[in-house]
Amino acid sequence: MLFNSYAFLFAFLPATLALYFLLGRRSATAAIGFLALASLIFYGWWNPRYLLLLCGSVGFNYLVGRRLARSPVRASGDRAVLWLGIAGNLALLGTFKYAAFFAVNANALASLALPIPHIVLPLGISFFTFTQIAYLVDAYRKEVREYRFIHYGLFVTFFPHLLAGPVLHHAEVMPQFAQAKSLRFDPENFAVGLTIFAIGLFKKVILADGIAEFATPVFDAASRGVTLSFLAAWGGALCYTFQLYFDFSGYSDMAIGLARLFGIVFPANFNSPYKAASIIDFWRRWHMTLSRFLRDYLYIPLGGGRCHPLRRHANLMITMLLGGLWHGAGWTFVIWGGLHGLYLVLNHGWRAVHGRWPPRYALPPAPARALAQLLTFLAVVVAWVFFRADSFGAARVMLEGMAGLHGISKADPYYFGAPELKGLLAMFVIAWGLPNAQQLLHRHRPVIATYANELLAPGRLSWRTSAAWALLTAALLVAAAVNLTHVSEFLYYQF
Amino acid sequence: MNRYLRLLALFAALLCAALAGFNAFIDPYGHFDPPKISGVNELPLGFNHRPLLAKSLAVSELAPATIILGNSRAEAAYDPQHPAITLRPGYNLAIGGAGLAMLHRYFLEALAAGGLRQVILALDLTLFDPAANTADTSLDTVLLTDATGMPAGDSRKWRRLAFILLSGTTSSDSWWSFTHQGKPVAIYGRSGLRDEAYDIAQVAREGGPRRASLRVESTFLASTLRDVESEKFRASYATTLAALQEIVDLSARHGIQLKLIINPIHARQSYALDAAGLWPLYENWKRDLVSAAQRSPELVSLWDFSGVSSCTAENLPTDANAASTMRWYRESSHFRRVLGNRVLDRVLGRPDDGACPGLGQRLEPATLAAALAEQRAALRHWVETHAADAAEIEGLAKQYGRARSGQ
Repeated sequence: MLFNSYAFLFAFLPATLALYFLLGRRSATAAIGFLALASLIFYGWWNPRYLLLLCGSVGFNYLVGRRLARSPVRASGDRAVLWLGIAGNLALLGTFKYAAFFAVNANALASLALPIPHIVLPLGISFFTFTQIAYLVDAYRKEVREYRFIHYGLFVTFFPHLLAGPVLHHAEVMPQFAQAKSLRFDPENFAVGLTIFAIGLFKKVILADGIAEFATPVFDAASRGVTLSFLAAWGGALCYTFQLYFDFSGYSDMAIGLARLFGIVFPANFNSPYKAASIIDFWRRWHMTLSRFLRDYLYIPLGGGRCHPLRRHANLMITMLLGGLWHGAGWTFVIWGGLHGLYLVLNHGWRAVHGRWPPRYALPPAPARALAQLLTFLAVVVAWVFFRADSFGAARVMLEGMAGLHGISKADPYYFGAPELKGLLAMFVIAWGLPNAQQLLHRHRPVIATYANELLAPGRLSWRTSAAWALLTAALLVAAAVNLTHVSEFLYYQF
Repeated sequence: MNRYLRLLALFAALLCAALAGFNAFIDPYGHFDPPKISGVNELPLGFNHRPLLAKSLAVSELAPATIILGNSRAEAAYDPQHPAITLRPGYNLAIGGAGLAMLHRYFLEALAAGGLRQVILALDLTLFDPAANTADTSLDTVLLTDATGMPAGDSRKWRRLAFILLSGTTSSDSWWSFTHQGKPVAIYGRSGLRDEAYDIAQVAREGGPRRASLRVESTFLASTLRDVESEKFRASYATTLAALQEIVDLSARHGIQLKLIINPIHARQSYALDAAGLWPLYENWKRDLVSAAQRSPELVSLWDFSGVSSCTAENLPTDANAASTMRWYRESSHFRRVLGNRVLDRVLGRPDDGACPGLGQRLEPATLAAALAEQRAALRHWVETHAADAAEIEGLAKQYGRARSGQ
């Protein structure tokens, strides 16, 4: 079921909220059990057959986690159990997400004739698998323990985060369900949650889906090998840059808002990433819970930053390459990850020499920051070309066009004209000029800080329970709701 | 907080009501018929963006006795209020860019509306192009019948009403309709007929009929009816032909007169088919049409106006007269209503004014072979007498990789 569908908005969500709070008055266990059941219905709406897969994964990880948590100190054999759990999760992911990719490449490299499996990627598998790997590692470290199956099941399946994150830690969510106040309807939670949800829905339905109409034809043309002029290629790349941002940050806002309706506060997942002044900064603002996962469960175990610079750079590259592969079973995703790895290595290198090696910044801080933001943004846009293109050929066509190798032709059928420019300008203003949802609602603790002290400082504009904000929120909700007639899936569902 | 939530709910309800009121008053699809104010809502211009929806609404309400089905050629050329159409009301249900699969759905919709007694189906080979016959899920919001012609249930009616009152699509069309009253845009009459004045002006803006003809011919050769030898094309063609056969069968079952008309395409378009190596397919298609019509010969007649005649061979203006308009055509792909009227005269048995000698003939099994041979000869003659036009078409065919062998 999609958040941006009438079935979800006008049937599933109101019914689930009403029954949850009704049951919550009588029994916490019944309410939590019901919410877990509702989340399974939410998941099974897409394809009931994959419910078995989800339930199997939850059951397996619950048993492994229970085994790891049975003693307060690390016991012999825990390490083996942990590796067994991780291997089980990776095997599931490998089978459903990477089997075809592996077979195609093995056939090409080793002249084999392995059959290519045609497996429909189960929705959210990358997310619920990573969430559970994190849980197992936390259980191994004795940072969490969960003996109640229903609670564990809800932790994994809670529908706001099930399909596309945020990637949660057990310790930051489940204690909230244990609090009695989360089982009662709370007007503040409802108002805050509804406002964040409205912002997210508007981002997805109006902004992301609106700009997609310009981005998609250009990338489709590139995949057919049509040469693109400078403006058309840049127009397509920039439109996709904003489409992806508003799509995924819109989804994250909706997830955070939905959780808040149930009284649960999620960690932040986006923090105005296109305002970043460096690639290091970008990755602390983009898909923050995945970055945190990769840092805590891959980069640091590899040795992190506390080793020789060469090793550190290698660790960064490995982390980003695997991060790229996590997004999709394709070499273009690997290249995208590798490109970001390279950016990060260069960024760390620059930071290492900066201050010790001339030339120093010749610009005052404000223009220097603006220049750094622009450079970061352009680097990100170039990398998105690989992320979006369905082949290296298509990426090459796009990059050739962006490099101006095919001129600036107004006769190009994908010429970027006035309507597209207006749309793009609006996206720039919103992404760079306006505060994000966390900043707007900062007085009401909209999110848990994913990293300590990492959220942007609140600006002058602040959400209040005034008539003006009620009108604005209603306008966002109505504008989005009346445009749901053409339902489109979230881009990150495919990952 | 409770006050905030109450205000939010109130504002949301008021906004929805205001939106519904605005859409009902502007009425971009001509459905609600509110009081008209010049410059505000006089013309329902939503037909420009959503003809599928606007025409299906009209058919549900009007329950026409005669419908005209076809693509953009029929949309502006065949007038349902033509004097020879005596089974009234008539409605032009032609849709620009439609394939036969979509026309089949609209036929079923008109049939379900009740009252249908005559169908004029304007055909050309492009209606059988697989690209024009891909599944269009948007019809499931728009039509009240399903793909089998059965009523899709009352919920569909309510969904469609909600859509035309509250959707963002309608709101955007309302705004466009409101802001384009009096501006040069295409206007659709109450009978669904598209006013051709706008299209003729567009051709003039484009640089005249010759330039516009080159554009439409380029588009045709670049993207239409490609890979006709492929299995995919054959399968799609068979499905499309089955849809036509079902229109014939259902017409017979309901006692509906069905007039199949092969449109009077310009000689340059005929030669474009030949230059692209599509002539054998074109003749086979006509044979298939004859067979389809024979499924119910008492109620179904097939007329072919596509042969080269004095009107269909009208010369394009020369470069020196680029701005002048043509008498019978807008450009080589679209004929004008004056020619459409003469086609309807012939098909519906109205006396001929003799302006277009040799225009059209009835196709029947007994006369088919001779008719096809005659058309081949007429086209050969046109090529000999219009060498520059023919060379231009051949050049385009080569440019788009469509040249037939031996060319």
